[in-house]
Amino acid sequence: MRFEHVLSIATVCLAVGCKSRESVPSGSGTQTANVTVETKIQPVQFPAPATIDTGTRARLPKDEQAKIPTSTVPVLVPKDDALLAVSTLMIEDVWTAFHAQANDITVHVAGTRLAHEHPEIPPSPGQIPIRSGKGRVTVNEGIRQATFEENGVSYAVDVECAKHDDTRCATDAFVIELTNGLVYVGGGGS
Amino acid sequence: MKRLALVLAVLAVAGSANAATFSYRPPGELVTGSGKGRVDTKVYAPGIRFPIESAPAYLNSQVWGHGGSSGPGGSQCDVANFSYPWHDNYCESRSWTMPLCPSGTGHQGQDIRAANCTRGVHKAVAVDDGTVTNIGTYSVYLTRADGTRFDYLHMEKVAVKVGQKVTRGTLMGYVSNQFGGTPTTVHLHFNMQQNVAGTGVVYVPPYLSLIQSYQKLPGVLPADAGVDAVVVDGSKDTSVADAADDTSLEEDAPPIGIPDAEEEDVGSASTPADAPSDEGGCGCRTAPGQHSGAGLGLGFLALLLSVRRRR
Repeated sequence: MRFEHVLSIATVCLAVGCKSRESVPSGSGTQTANVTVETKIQPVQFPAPATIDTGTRARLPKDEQAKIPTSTVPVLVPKDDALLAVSTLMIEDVWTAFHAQANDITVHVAGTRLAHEHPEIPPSPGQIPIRSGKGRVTVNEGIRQATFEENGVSYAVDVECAKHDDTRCATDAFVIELTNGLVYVGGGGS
Repeated sequence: MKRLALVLAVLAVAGSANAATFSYRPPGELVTGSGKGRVDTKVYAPGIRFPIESAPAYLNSQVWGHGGSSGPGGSQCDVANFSYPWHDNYCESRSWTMPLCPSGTGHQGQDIRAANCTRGVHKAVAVDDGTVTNIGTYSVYLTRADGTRFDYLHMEKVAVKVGQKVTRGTLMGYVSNQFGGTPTTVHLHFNMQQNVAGTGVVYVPPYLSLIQSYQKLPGVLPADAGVDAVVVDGSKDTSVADAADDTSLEEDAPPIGIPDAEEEDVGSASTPADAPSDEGGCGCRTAPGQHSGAGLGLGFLALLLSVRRRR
């Protein structure tokens, strides 16, 4: 076989890919349940105003304190001074989120009263004791997350460590401890 | 010989077109040996924008792909990692609690590679209007008004701030390998989290939402795809039951292409697909759709040489 023939075949292989590869689309598709996802607003029970941890609330930045009464869910925050000092509260119609980054960890606490209804997903509540009920702990690429429901609100608490070898993200213990220590600082007009 | 060369040249043209044509494996079908996926054809976040600004992008496993710890070896920049069809990797083997995964544990989201393995050049953008509620060392969370949370992991040059309200398409950062001091492969790990009634806050499957959104990017669909090609059907609850019997989920089933109609407006600041491939020290190779043109050119050149010699 002449050189140019070999070259021709080799370059065609380069173009089409001679190594084993999946075949190309058939042109047919799959039917998907691309329906509008139904949602519902869960009724929220706010704790009594007397249970507000006023001391912790006072350690939040002033601007963040001012946002608390507008929250439509009970606002839960950690008591850690370093985190409180640099925290940000974000409040939307159906959810409130807390963010803070200090001491090589990032903490995100979000509570929502809106639930997405996916009837094909059988109910599967968490089984781990968290706060006054049951919840769940998972890991997302090293980020520990605890989830639980309280007062009609679904919460998720994320702890991300800046360094891989940080023992706080090596097990569930720290995120559970932090979640159990969250305190109520207001919401719903209070 | 002349005829053979002509046939090969025609094959090269056909192969070139196919290599760049979007296709994907069915939802729930993971790389062999990487666990059991969730067979779920529900689009959990219909209508979102694709989280990487421009095509091409490739959904597949980092761990079980080339350059991954459980992969077939080679470099993360291997051309096979940057080719269609896409593969689901939600629920891929992990020890992490995942109530929606068949095993109860698994990978929470979807790994997305941009056009090539160069870090810091491919833009990750907001999939919808929302608020940036978290920026960690290697994570950014975008929370939509309905509480759906979209997680962007491993980015660099994060372009947003905590508390910032963003609109769909806003630059969030650049696809990279950030992972708390120990780099991972260059990719965007993308999660979707919702508060599911009866279950609580969980990571929901992102694969079909990403497929639907990807088809709206310029260049993904053939220009003549037409209405008949639209098979993401929003009219009925067609799929969960159907999917269980779907023979396309068998291992040897062909990949699926599901074009949609409208293209996403990505503005004028698109990242070029031919960005320098050796930046970031990855020794990148280009994706099939990019090199096939050169291959074709050489193929035709060789063919012409062959014909001229014969004469």
